Amino acid sequence: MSGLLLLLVFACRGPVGEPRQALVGDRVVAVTLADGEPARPRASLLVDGRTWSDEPVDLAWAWVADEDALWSLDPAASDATGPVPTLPDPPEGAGRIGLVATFPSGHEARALLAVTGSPAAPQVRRVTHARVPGQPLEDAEDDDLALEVRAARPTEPAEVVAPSSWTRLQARVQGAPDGTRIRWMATAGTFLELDATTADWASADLVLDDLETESSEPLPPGPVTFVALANDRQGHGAVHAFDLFVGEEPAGARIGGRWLPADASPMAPTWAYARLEADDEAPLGLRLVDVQQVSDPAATAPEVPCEGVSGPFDPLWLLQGACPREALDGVRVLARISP
Amino acid sequence: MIAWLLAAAWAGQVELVVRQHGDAAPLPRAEVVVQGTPVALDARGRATLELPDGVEATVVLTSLDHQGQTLTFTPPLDQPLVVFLRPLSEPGEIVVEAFRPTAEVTRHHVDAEMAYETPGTFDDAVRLVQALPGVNVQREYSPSSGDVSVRGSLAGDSRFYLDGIEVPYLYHFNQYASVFPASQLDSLDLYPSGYGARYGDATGAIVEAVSKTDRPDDITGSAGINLVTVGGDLRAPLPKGWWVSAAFRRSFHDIVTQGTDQFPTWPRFYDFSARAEHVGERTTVGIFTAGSGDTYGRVLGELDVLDPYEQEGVPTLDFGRDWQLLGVRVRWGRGRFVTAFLHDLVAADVSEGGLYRKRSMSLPTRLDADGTALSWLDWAVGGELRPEVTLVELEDAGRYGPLVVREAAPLAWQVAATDATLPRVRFHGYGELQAKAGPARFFPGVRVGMDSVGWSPTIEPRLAVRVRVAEQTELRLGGGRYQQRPETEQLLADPDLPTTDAWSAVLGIDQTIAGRVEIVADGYVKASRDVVWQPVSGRPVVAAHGLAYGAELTVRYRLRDTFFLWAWFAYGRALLHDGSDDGDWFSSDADQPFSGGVVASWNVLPALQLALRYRAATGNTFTDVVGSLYDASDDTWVPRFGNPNGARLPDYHKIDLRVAYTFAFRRWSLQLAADVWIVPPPATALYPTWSYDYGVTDYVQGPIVLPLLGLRATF
Repeated sequence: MSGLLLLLVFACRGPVGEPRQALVGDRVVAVTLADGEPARPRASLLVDGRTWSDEPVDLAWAWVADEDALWSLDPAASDATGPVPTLPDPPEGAGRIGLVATFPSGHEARALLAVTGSPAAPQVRRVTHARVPGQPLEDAEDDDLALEVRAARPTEPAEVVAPSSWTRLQARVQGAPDGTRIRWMATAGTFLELDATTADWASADLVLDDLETESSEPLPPGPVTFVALANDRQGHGAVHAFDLFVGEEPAGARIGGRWLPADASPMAPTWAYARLEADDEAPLGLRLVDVQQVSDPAATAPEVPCEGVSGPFDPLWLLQGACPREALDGVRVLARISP
Repeated sequence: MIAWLLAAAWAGQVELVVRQHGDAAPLPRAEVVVQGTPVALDARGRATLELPDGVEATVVLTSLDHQGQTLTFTPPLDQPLVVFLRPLSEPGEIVVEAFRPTAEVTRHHVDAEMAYETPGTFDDAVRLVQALPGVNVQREYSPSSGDVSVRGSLAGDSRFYLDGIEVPYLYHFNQYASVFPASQLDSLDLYPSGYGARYGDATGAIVEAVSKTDRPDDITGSAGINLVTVGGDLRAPLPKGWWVSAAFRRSFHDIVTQGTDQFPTWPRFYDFSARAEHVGERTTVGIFTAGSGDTYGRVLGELDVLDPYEQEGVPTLDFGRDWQLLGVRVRWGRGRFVTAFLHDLVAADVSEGGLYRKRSMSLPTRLDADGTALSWLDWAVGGELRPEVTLVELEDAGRYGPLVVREAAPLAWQVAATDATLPRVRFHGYGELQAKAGPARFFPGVRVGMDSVGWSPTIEPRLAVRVRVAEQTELRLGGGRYQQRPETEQLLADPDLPTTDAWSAVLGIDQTIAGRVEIVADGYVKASRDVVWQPVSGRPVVAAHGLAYGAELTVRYRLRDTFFLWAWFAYGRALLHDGSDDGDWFSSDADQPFSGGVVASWNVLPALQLALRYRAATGNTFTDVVGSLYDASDDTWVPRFGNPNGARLPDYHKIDLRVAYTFAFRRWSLQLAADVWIVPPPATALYPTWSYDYGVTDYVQGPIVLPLLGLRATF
């Protein structure tokens, strides 16, 4: 009871702590498994509310039989360590991968992933966004924000996300079995989900009571980072991180959905060489300098000083902790710049 | 006030009827003097007066408990002369509960007056049990508010009897009201521990509710409504020594509310009882029926904290429980026999799949008899037989199972899905002696039992001693062995669960001051083996050892119908140990070191009652979450629980105030009552709740102030 009965309706239960959609603090956002064998798990990490970190997160991986085994797992006695591990074959009776993540703050988080051997994981190909004109935000009342009412509202393309407005986010998921749904997370704003892969996001901090607006605080202009986690509840997951800009977007470029400030916005889509430079104000902690567009799609990607990664620059390197930001500061990379 | 009706001729005879003002109850014991000559009233408070027509007559009516009246009138009268005498408000009878010579060395007694006049009980005698010494103070409307934990016993360790028949559960939804129609109860006794061989298969307390057994002289009844329930009762005499009674009560919010998103089927409950009895010269034979039902549908999640789309995916639990019994009771001078067919159904359906149905049919039968062997020796024998068959239908609820632990524990225990029939027969017999030796009385007894599940015999020797050391002082010592078999539902999870075996002792003293004020002090200890208890998750487990000890001090003072007060303070501990060499004692669910309170009621005027109840206690234990892990397989967080019962809710304080005014008319009365509860924060905390990742703990808060209104008409 769970608290439940009769006059318990007089009881008051409000939200406790931060909502799970809020990207705050240190957190293991997802654990996914790359296709094929041996097992190559990857963790998506939020460090102090950011999708990057200057210091590495210590990751210890091991095959475990159950939750109790994970609780008693000593990181020093793990099967593999680091952000890009390859695990040995599992011992008899151990069908789950356990992770102990120790963040730079000292916070320790433990996570578990069942390895089912079922078909491949869903992939989040892209996320589209559109404006939802006519959807009340600051003065929503009655059933303005009810599920069926929102579903019936049309959307229209929008280049700019205005403060205090609704944006509809829709994830294109490939290879997803029935039951796959997107868990939306963001560094700011308020979500109201619409269906398994679609959500309305308010560029404002809303306090709703029974879907009626109690208070609304518009977000200041600037970037907001989103994470869309696809999970099929059968042990498969996929992560897609992207940024939207509230207000007019300054000069910059998008790489794999992430927005990096730049001295000038390059034409897109294109391939380009660029140097990464630390920028605490940027959503990925990095900005692009010395951008040089290249016409040859077979251009060679420079090596990066991070273990286990290679090829064109991928923002997942930071989200998954494969590259601390410090390691990429000043590094020249090849990147595919998307519209 | 008097009333008489005058009209045409009555042929020299005047029919006199004497009744009590307010409820029209007959007053057969009123004294009547007509023209200086005493006249006797019959059992219905009636007499026929032979008076000459046209001559003024004087009738003087007196009664020990009522205001007297003198009437002057001139016959003939065309209708009976009906006289209503007002009850005296004071001085009332001084009521002393101490010094009762029974084997139950500690006994707390509640009667209708105390139930109706104590604030916060909603006219429910059974609710008052939780304001008695030694009973854990529970937070109103918390999940455990209906738990009766007495002297360190767990909530499931006690037995509840209605006229000798054990009822399946005590409170609707384990919260609001008892399943006994309060208006039909005459009294209720709580035996906290150390009771005699008469009661058993319990390591906790015994609650024995007794219905009104006196044959009514006239039709009486009441109808009442408060903010939650509406109900009524009726008692009526029938010819040839028969009488009948019936009562019914139902909650009505579901009719008004029609459900909410959180409770698609709004909680509703009902209870009823009815009986017909024949009062003979030597025996009273009666048939009776009783029952109750609880129903609701709730969403298995807190919608307030879920996204609208998530809300659509949360399953609903449809829960219902009801029981009915039909039985026969025979009472004679020094004994009783009672048997009843009892049907008990629990049904829990989870919309996403998962089902639990338990239908139990039993024939609880009880015989008690006593007699006198010698001038100094009395005896008592009896037994209980309970043949029972339980039909279980179980369908796995998967990950939703742990969310229905209170309604359908086997789903939470993840017992293998099955359809099963579980026959079971339990038998207990007892014998007890009462020997008088000077100022001392000895009550040796023994109780033997057998359970067909596991063929587990129990042998429980008991002993009580009472010594009247002075006119106003009595020492009490009692205890023995108390054994309890697991519940049938628990045996579903593990058929090999053992018998809980406890040795218990009570030492007490009763002291009266000037024959008015009672002071009662008790100390108790109970050492148990194989205590079956329910951890916060998973199946029932067995603690190798249990230990409960404590002391209680109670002060009582009562003038019947005028004033009563009791105050108590209790200290006690209830601990468990897993039996391992490196294990520590830990608090059980019932560990509440300090509790106390005051109950006072004063009829300031005959029609005006003021009352107060204050209760305070150490906060109940709970098992806190000390961490969580993220299960990326299905994007959920799994809590990691800390030491069992290693945390406590804030200390609890609650004040209940009551004002009631009774409008007394000749044949009926109407009482308006207003109760107000006040719970100062942080005592408003009801139960813990956690953030989505169990990283933050908070409490669900109950109201600080809550007014309740009630209306009751009695005739």
